[in-house]
Amino acid sequence: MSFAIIEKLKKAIADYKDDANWQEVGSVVEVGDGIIKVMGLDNLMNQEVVLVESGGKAVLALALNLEEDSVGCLLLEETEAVKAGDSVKRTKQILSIAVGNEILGRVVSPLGSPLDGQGEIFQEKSETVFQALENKAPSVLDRESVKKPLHTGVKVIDSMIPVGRGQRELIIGDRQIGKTALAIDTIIHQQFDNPDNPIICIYVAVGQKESKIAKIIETLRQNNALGYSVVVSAPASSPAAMWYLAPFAGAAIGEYFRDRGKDVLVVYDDLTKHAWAYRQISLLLKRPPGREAYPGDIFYLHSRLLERAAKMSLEKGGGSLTALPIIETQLGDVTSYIPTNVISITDGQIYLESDLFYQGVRPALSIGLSVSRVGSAAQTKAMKKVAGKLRLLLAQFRELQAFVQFSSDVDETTKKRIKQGQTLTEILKQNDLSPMPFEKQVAVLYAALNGHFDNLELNQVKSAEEKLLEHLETFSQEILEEIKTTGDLVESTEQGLKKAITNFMSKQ
Amino acid sequence: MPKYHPKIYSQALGFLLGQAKNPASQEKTIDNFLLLVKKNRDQKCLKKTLFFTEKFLLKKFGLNKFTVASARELSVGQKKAIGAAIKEEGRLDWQIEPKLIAGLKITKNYNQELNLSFSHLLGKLFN
Repeated sequence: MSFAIIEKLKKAIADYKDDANWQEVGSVVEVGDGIIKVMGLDNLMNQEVVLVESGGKAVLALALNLEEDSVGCLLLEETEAVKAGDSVKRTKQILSIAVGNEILGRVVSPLGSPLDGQGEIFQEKSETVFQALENKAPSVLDRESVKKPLHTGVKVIDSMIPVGRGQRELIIGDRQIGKTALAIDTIIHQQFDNPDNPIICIYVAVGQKESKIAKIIETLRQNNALGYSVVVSAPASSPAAMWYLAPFAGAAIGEYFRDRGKDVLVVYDDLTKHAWAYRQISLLLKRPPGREAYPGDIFYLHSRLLERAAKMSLEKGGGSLTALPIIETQLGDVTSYIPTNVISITDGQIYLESDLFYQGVRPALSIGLSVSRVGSAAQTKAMKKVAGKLRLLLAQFRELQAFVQFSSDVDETTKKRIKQGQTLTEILKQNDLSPMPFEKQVAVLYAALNGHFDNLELNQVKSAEEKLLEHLETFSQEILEEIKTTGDLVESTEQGLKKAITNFMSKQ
Repeated sequence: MPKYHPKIYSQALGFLLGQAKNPASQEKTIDNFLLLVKKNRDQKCLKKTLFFTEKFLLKKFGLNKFTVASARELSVGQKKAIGAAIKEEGRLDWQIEPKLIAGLKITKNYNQELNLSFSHLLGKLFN
């Protein structure tokens, strides 16, 4: 054993080539709360990685504040060993993360180290690329318009707030309202939407409890979704530097696949905590505080992150990066600083309301306040045909609902509308971890909107929906296949669907 | 908060020292400077001021300052040889850093380093 070690040492010494050069150095003059101040290093670049030589070990730090006579750096690793007087060296490299196909199915830190206990991500022979965490968003000419749908598997979203590939759709609501559940359902659904080539999903956990992150990973694993997903984890116990870098790491991983022609979905959960971490870092770097003590460039923090979501032109590979940022509000206040910032950046929002949640409407989506700015351009023809009048009917129902509270005497037409609205609301309810393929959504919504469920009691609607889908799968699978492959509801398919639904309802 | 930033003190001191014609006037300039700092109660800034002044003067006169660190005390002959090898004009300061184990570490103007020490070599080999 000792001979093997000696031989290894001899070989290491023999192979060593010394290239002693002058290196730029600085020294730590202040250290505290994860921030160091370095003097010297006059030619340092912004966002450059430096090495702090502390106790025989090199600790990574990120240069953030380039001042006249010193540099404020953010420590990226353990901070206890660093002390004043330690020397600091440049690496002349911007912070980047190693990305390759082997990263799929893994849980990583924002610096790219594995956290799932499955060993190193990349072997020596692997093809890896170092993707910069901070990167320029694609230019206008490199993009094309968002046309292809990204099906979430959630009926209320796919029908009325459709999300397209390359879009940014914000999920906003109070705590414990189902924001993460929507994102996880979307990730799980991708394996059904396109089983041969599912969209690559990246879930970025910022400042969450480790138990919650572990539960999410287990949920993805049990639903066979981890194989095409990556989890970037910056739990609550990690330093603010990791919370700050995690979304950028997620975007960098997504860009690697996007630039190779793949479709990618990145979920940022959540950007409120990301803003808190950036505020903490900025205050420690003594940057002047603005509104609510956030630094002046808090908008730019999120805009430059979210602008990296794009649908690339064919010349640039045709890939896409769709972003689902999540923001947590306090008591439903969407008018506060960070929510309004992110709402103005994204291409729409999915607003979840506590009142609806406690009334039993889950997902607790507020149809009035939710919007997708891409709209039906990101819907299949079949869904457009079927769900075209859904939003209007539900809006009318909401108005009538308020009216009915004051007057019990209503005419037949109004009663019918109210009943239809209630039925539609029941149809749009969906259990969590039960995403539905879009062709089944089309069938169910077609039945509901054409009055096939009108004669049912409200408590019978859900079971009728399930039985209808079973019936269609058993006796009319070809109709569902037709809708799935063509994405359209042509005359013949519509007639076949109508016949199948009528057949089914006559037996109820 | 100091009355003036150490850089401002250093620029003023550096300018005046640069203009002083002989060592006696330099000493007088320094005495007056210390009185001023005491009057402003900015004694805490003196260390930083000295550092910036040194950098200012080195830059002004185009000189370089070298700090040579070794693991053990060097002999006179060794120091002469090292001084001759560093062919540029400037001051040489000598420091002892046992953690280098062997070899030398040369720092130029506080912001460039040539590390020829044994500890650095071991670090590069095994990290």
